Amino acid sequence: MDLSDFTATPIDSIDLTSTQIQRALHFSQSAPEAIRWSQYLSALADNGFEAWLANRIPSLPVRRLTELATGLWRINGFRVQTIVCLEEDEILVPVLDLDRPETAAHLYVAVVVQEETSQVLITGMIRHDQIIAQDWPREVSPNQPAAYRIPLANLSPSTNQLLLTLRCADPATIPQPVPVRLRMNVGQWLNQQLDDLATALTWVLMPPNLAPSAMRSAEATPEQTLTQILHQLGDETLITPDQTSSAYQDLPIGELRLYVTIGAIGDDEWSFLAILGTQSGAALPVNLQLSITCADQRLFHETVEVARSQSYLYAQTIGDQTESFQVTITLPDGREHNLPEFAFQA
Amino acid sequence: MSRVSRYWNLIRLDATGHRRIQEQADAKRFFQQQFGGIDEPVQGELQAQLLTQMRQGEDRARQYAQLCLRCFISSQIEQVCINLEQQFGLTHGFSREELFPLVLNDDGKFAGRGGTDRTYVSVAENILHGFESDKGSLTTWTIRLVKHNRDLNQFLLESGVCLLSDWAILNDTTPSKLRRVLTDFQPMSAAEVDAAVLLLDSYHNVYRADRLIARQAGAKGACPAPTPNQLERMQTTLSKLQRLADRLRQYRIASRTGRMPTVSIDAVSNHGEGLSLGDRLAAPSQETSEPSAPESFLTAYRQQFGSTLDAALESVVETRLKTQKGDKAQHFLTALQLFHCQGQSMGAIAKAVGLQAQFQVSRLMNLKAFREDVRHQMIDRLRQFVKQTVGDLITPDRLAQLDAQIEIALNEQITDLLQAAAAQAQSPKDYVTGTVFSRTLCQLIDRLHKSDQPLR
Repeated sequence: MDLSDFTATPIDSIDLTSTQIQRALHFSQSAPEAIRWSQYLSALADNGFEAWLANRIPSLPVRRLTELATGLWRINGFRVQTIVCLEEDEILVPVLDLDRPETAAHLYVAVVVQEETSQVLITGMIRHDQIIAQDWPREVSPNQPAAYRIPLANLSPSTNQLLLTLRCADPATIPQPVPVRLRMNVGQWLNQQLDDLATALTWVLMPPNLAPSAMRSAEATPEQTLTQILHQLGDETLITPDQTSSAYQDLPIGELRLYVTIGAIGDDEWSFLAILGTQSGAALPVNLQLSITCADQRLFHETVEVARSQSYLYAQTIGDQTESFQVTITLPDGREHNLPEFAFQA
Repeated sequence: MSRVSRYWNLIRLDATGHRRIQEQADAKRFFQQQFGGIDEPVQGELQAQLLTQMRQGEDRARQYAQLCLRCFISSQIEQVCINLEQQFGLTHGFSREELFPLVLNDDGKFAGRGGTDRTYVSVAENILHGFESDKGSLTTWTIRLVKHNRDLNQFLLESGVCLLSDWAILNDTTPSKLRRVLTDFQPMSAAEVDAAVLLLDSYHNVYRADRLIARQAGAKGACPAPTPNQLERMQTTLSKLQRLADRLRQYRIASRTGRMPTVSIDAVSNHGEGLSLGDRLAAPSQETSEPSAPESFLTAYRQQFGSTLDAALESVVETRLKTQKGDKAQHFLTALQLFHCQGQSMGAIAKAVGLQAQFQVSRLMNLKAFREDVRHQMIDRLRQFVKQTVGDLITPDRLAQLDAQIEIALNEQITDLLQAAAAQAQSPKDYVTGTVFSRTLCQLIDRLHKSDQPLR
């Protein structure tokens, strides 16, 4: 009689508690229906991984880098990406995520999720340098980013290597993609000019010195929308309307549109106002975040806290004309979108 | 039991829960009337005739034919339980007697007209009720249904033996994966593949969403078979889905073979051998390259090795004792002592600490994790030294080498390393496994037992 379909539970599998399961269910509820199941499994994997970390390396510093279910962690100086492993034979690693500093990790950890038995098992690990050293078959399917298919046989099968690396290795020995700091010269906007990068990114320049206006219309142009927002902001803005220039970009993520208004203040300083809205004028999704950083220091951070409450987020600052600002948009699912730096001078 | 007597001997449990063979006189008479003249009846033909009688015969014949088949099914159910016990019972601590009550619950009586007073439909009746001859042989059908019996699966899961349901397998399969399996592993025509992908898609849309809702409402355990309502929404049938799941299950079994083998702890005797089984089980896998020049490393280390091992063991044991809840801490220490210092088998240890099964002991001790923790602690403690030796940055590959070298050193026989101690004639206790690791551990446990203030 063939009983090969029965398997013995590995002794280091993790039993999920009902609290962990409910947390994952709660989290997945806000996801679109098409990805709700996979978000649920990812959240289960993350909860199980967290429990495993607490059990095996309780003394090491552990921090979730993004929200639940995106699986990016910082552990003792390492960036660690967990990957839900549905199959018994391979994991899928999104190709683009490996190249971008904000999504790349030192270590990729395969986590088997058995939803039916509420169990999770850490099943293997592969390093970033080991992944990019080889050509893997690619998974290309509609609505999904292209991914490498990495056979589990190519992973370190035990947790020994993962723990050993986390506990004793030096993160610097695993090279990570270097951030390419792109800069846009927005000072030129005052001369009604876009530089090459802004042009390539399809920024659209608007007429200079847009005046705030309460005028509403059914199908507002970007100019009308911006002047209306400026009107609403009123005294809260730092910009002086007579020496400004504005441009906008329709972002390749989530139907979002970013308006930027800059202005010179005297000979030394400049003002920078970033407004994040939607292309249709609809309300922003809850948990969307907008932040401005300068020299790696976060200056402003705004979040949509209540659903359907806001149609835009804004952040503004003033700096020396030698200073440049970085805008980061964090999507509700935790993905970060970094824009090139905004510099006043070339 | 002769082959044909399976058709009139009902295997059932008596009031005290013991297995009994109960001859059903009516069934025997009926069977011999029907098939008496045939020397070597063919099973399939026999069963087909009995099924026809059961469905189309006159009243009495219907009942007798059904009883014959229920007797046959009872013998098959018993066989599944026996096989499960043989394959998993020892390591997972269960016997066939514990499985019988879950599935062997037919009393041979009939509902209504002065028949049975039991309030449930027996597993055998259910199996028979759902059987159609297009589902293969009755034997295959019975084995399949017994293997997937919910009560049985729940019991086995608690003993650490898992059988995923068809529905969990379908939940876990992405359309692209299905396409690959059906193209590469079990080739089908392109049209059939497309149809299967569509089927999976409609299954996902209905079943996954409902599962999430059921989970929110607190549902636990195995995924139930789709209800008629769900099947209607998926626009398919149960057997189509089961056939799809079967293919995927075959693929899983094939891809699993060779990976994650089940290691029976008692499979190898650990007495009188150089390496204890614990040593062997926990040795780093061959994933890393052969350690290069262990001699120079160990020579350079020898001074620090003993004291570092001692400190690492103490720290790891202390942490374990702190994190184990309740009696577990004491059980852990006892199990460790019995295994490493007295060379007892996992089965014996289970009894000593009041656990039912070996796998529970394995879970309690988690020897592999224990040794990993000790080696890593040692490396961590010797890090400064290692840095000077191999340069400023420690790469993961270099660490893996060190780890493997330390493992080798831990497995060295104590007589090789501690000749000096023996010469001082303080004849040490006769530890069964004489490795550096187990000897140092046993000395630590001795100290813990002697000291008035345990580490905790």
